[in-house]
Amino acid sequence: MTIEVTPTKAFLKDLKRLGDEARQEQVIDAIGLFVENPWASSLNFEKIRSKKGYFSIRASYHDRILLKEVGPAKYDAVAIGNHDYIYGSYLRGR
Amino acid sequence: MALQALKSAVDLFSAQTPLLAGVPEAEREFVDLAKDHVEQLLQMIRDRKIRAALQKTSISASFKDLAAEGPGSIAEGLAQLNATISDFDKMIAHGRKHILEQEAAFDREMARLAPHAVETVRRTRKQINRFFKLAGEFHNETVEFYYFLLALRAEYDPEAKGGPRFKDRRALAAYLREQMKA
Repeated sequence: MTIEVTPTKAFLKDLKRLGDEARQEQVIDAIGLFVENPWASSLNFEKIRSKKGYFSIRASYHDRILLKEVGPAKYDAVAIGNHDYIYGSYLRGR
Repeated sequence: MALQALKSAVDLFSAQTPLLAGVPEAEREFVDLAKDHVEQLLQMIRDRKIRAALQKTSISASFKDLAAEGPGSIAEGLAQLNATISDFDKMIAHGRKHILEQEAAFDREMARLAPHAVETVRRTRKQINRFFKLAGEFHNETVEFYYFLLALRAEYDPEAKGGPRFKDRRALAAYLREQMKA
């Protein structure tokens, strides 16, 4: 399954704002993987519970990419959030 | 109106998890203390979920009103929203640190007690694990709200719409790298 992604100006601004080249590369890798395989486990592709049509994928320990579904298999990358959820595995593998 | 709704959201999420400090030597005493904290945290999570849902509805409604008023109003609302997102950034970083520090402190206490109170450590570990699992859940409600705010901004920010489309991973990566150099 191939996905079509549109990196918006707002997303590019957030990517620049990360500053750190290694973090930027993690975001680029993650969104590239999303295009090829949105269900790759490392991406942890999930809905934003409270905002219909919005999803996020994990880029790194810190960063998640916010996506808006604009059509079947079509997403706009609209922002990068600097926080990930605390999952059981973060806290001593509970 | 938007400002008030956003301010209320910051107030709601600024509460920290209860501090489960120190491990009393007596097992019974500790188990009771941990149970109280778990109950308190469960109540806080329930309360936060309900109030967060109301806040989201109120903030969304405020932005619809601003959009109806015109571009000037929505620009002002977006500026306030950016400030709120920045507040959430700080709160989340602080909250995460708070939880991880507490957890590390408990690990140290447990390691200190373990040699002479193996049974106590074994029994209390379950309560501690439960407490920190809930603390993570409490924290995640704030993270969820943060992503709601980012999505709301994207909804009204003209820069969060449009651009070149990519279906090829390599072409997308090349474009993004080029943009980072520009």
